[in-house]
Amino acid sequence: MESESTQKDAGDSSSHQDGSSHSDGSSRQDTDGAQPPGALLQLWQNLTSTPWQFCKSVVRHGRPTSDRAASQVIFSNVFLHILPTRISLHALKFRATLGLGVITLVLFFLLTITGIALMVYYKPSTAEAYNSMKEIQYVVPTGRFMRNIHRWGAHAMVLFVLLHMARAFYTAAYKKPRQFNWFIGMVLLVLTLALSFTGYLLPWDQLAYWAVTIGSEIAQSPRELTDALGITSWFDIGGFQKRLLLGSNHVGEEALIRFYVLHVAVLPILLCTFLAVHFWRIRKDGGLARPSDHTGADHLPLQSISNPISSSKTFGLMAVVRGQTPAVNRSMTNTVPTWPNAIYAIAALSMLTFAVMLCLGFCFDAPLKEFANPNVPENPAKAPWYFLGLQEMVSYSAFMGGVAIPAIVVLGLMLVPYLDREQEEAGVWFSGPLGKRICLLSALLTTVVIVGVLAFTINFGWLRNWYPNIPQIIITFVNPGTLFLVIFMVWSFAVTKRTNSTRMGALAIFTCFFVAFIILTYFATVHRGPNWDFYWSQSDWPVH
Amino acid sequence: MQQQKSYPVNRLKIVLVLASVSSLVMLLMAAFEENFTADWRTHQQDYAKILVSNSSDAATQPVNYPLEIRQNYLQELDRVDRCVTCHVGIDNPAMKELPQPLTTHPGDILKHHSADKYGCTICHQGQGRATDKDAAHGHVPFWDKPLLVGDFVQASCTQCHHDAEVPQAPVLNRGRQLLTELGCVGCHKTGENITAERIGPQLDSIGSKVTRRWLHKWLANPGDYLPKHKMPNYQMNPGTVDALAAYLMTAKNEKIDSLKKIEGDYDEGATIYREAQCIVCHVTKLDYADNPVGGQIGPNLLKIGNKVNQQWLVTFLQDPHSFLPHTKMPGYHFSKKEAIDLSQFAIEEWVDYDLLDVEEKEPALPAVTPEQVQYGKLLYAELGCAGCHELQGIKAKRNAPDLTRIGSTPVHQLSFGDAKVPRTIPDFLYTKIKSPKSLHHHFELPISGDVSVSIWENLKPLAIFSGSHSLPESPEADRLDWILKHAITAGIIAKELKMPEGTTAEQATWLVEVFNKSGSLNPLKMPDFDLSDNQAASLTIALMSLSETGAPSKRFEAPRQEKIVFNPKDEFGKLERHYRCLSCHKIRESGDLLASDLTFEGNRANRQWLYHYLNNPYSMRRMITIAMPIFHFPDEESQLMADYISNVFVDGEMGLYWKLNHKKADAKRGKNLFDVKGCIACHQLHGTGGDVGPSLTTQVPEFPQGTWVGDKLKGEWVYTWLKNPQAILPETIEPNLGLSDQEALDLTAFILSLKNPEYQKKTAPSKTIKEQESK
Repeated sequence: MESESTQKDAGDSSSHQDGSSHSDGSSRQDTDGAQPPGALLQLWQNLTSTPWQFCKSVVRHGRPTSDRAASQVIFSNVFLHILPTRISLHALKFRATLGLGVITLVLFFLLTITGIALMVYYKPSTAEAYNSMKEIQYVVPTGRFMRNIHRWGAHAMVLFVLLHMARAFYTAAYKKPRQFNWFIGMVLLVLTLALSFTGYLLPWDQLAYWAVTIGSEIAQSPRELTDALGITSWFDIGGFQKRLLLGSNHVGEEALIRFYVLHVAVLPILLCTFLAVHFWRIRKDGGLARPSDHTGADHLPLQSISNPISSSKTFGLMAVVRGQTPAVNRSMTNTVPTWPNAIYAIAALSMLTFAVMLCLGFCFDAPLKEFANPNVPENPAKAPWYFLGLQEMVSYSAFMGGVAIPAIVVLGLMLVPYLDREQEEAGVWFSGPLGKRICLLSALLTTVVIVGVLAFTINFGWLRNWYPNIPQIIITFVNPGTLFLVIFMVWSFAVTKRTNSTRMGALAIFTCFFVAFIILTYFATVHRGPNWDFYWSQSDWPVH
Repeated sequence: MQQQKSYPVNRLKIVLVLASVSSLVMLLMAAFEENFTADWRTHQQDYAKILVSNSSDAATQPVNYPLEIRQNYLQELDRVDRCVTCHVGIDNPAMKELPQPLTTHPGDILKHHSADKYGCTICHQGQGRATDKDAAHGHVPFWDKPLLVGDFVQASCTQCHHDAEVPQAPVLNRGRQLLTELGCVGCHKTGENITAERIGPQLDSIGSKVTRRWLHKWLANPGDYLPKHKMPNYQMNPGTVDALAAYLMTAKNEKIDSLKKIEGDYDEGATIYREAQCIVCHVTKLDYADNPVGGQIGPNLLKIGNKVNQQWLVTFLQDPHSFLPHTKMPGYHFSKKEAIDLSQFAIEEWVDYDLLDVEEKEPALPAVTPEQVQYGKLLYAELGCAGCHELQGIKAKRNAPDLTRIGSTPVHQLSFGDAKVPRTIPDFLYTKIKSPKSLHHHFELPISGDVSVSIWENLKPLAIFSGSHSLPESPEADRLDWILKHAITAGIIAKELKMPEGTTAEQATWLVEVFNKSGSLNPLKMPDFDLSDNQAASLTIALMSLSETGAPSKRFEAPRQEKIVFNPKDEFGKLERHYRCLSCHKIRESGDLLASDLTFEGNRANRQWLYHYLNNPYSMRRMITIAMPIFHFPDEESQLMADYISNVFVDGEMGLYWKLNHKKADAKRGKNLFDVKGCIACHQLHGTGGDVGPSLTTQVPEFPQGTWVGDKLKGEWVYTWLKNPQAILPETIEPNLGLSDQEALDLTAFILSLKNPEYQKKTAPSKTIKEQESK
């Protein structure tokens, strides 16, 4: 539907420009009046004007000097037409989005490019994988550079996806009509983590091997519960998950090829698909979340065909029917043409991201430890950094930290738009000063609780240290991880009740989890040493 | 258009341009680094220049030397060695004088191990795939195998060479020998190629052999008794010494204890001492500069008077093999009287009177308690004493770390302690061997858990003082008390210490501090061997060779050479085991080269001479007085040995040319040749000549008849020797004169003509041998 209208517009535009363009002399209309120069001469003229004609056939509009031409730049380009022709000024403000989504997209793009380059040299077998890493590092032209960018890019992408999620949450961008897109966003988060995790194994060094071993142990953690219930022998969901992930009981050849296929084919295709949906839904949900600039209902009533809603939108063949639709481009006020404003903003941010990643890749070498050796466990064996918070909780209880809590968190996040349906201004950070205060309080509370509980367990131990014979099922349900969960939920309910607002409650619990994630990740990265014991810094680790 | 201005597009354009430019710069830098900055390019350019300057006709035939990454790809060995990317001149002999990395490989190693077949990293380790220096040499994190250079390369030989003796690897072989000689194998497992034997004396009658005071001093510090001692200083604390000595003194031999003390004749003893040539194996005197004189095979005898009981010595001299079955000491036929005289001489001659005086003034040693004996017995097994010394059938535990694969241990599994050494296997081994304590680390109080358990775990090697292997079941405070009490009983910490009042944690902290001060926690059992740098390096190399990486395919395995042990089951074998000929002589592959190699002695010396020599040995060279001991063989034994040697120790092929052509030889021409070649410069002939080689006409007081070279040698051997001395004895300094066959025949004839008429008059009784050749 849209393409037809675009063609029509493009046709209009070219015929409009024909009169003013002198270089269009070779077109049949102009030559009809003059003496026919002969077919050979005609051929010559066609040949010399081919480059220009080619360009014109690619870009049908002229220079974007008018608003109309500027719009054409956007909607006559398959890549750009995902953008609206005019864009709200609010959406272009840096503080509205912090550019996190664009940065993530650029990182994904960069990862795809470098990933394809690496794929050419990488051999997914346990015997050759590590050697091919060495080849990439030492012999493949700019191989080291490519790998560095890929490695740092992967970390950065996980980081920016998380930040992007936080931005979307704090600006209430998950609210109606964007509930489903938030859901897609959660899927993308999970896919990004999966991509990063599957890529982690591929170098086949000690770091990779043991991080993935830890990861697979986390996958197996439901066994703690089934063991406690005594049903593992006929319902071993943990073991099943682990074998599904690894293709065997240990990280080996099967796991490597599985991870490789997931990493280079399955997950990228899924990610691209959901990414397309994600972007498409942004347009369909009315662009980036922003505060409404007019008072009135969000949904304009569609009463009859005879009562068109707005004259500023070309509907083309879109059927105008009864029912409700999100108000698209509610107003022309406070909008600017996408070309050049948004395009330059996106281009500048992309190139900046690009430059930073190149710089990282040029200056810092990606780690590559010793060849994977199943007989020599790393101590401590740490999962990739984004799972370290989980690993910390797994150290209290495998089931809670590895399955229950992450499931609750992901499920809770997906359900947030359906639980918190209060209508309010989207695109306002923390939904105003009250929300800001609540977020600060929540952050403070989380810090105090987590640091306090960690300090407590380090100094005094936990149930197992006091009652060595306590059944594991009790520890599964009573451990620092569940304690955090309960405290955060109680706090969130209290906030909801006190402010009489589900949005405030959501802000509270999201902040709690976000800060908890940061603190636990930091703690497990820096302060956990051999045997998962506490150390102030790595220099205090016992040397043996 | 109004709204458009409200958005700062121009500022964005600047950002875009800057970011784009810096991206471009970054990409260009990466490209530049990739294509121009690599060190190997510089090296190859230098190399190309040298090739051009070396090439005589560079103008007509331009040297084509492309700059590229070069490598040896060894599929079978699973190696890609790019070392030749920088070391481009490695197989070009013309580059010998160049500095690294362009220089030629030293020696002729590449002749036998060509880089095409073996690559570089198989022997040198390092990281073959890398193309920058630090990474390729393995001097980067996460690469466990740093480059091996110099002697250290020998550690790699054992991947393919599985023999105990590796050709052309002297340092490795020396290191392996040291592992046996120093007694390392007593405590550590080391794999098949290192002989595991108990190197210390058997201690079954130690209580009757030595004085208790001596034992105390020896255990506390062997260096106090002898400056050079085989037993290392274990730096035991006094409690351990007391207990060990108490236990060892219970190992008594009642037969010896019941012997009466009889005075012997010192002078008679002195004669026996000279005849028995004790000095060949034992240090028995000091020279003018107080340097010990004598052999290193047996123990130093200089202070034996301060150490042993005479009754024990008498018994020992009569039958050393019943005390030390594996000793190198020959069995002499000493009568009881001779043994008493010799022991009298030993005890009076080799005594430190100053030490006796000191010992007299020292207070008497306290009485031994049964607990000490029991503790001492446990210590004996636990400290590894049994690894070197046999005693009452206590088995060697060999509970020190297993070294069978030490060379391929991942570095992070080694405990470096706080030592400031690079984290590599060679550095670890060298440091550990040189000074074991430097890799020791301080025990720290654990953060959580039962502290007494950790202390106990760390004390365990020494903390068997209680005779119990686990802590008593009681609260922590009682356990700490218990540990302290027993540590004091065992003499590990000072007696007067008292645990301060306070919490368990405070008490534990105090206890750990006390233990740390006395160095008893986490104690190190390995003693300091006080080795030289060379010894430590040899040992390091030998240990590094103990690795699990083997040759990847049979094609690379060097053939094993079966070692033939000379140990016949016949009459001669019995004699050999009694007189221990192999302690000095080499026969086939067995024995030592302290004296001559007897493998082809039957070709060399005639039977008559052998018989007389066995009865009355003498030195071949005037300047050397040390000779074979006078064993006073019974006549039938000398007959048997002479027969056996001349019939069994022969090579039928040797000197075949002489045997066939000796009639063509002319002694006169030989005499002429003897003069022309200047043989007299080194060999004595009728009282004139040099003393470098053996005399050809020996006259020695011990053997008045005097044998000349013609009385002794056989023509087949002389001929072979003259043709090529080094073929028989590679280390001989006798020059190869390059004689023609005829010249050699003549010279041999002349040498055989040098017979002492006096000696010839005396005929040796001949006797047919019963034994058949066992060859």
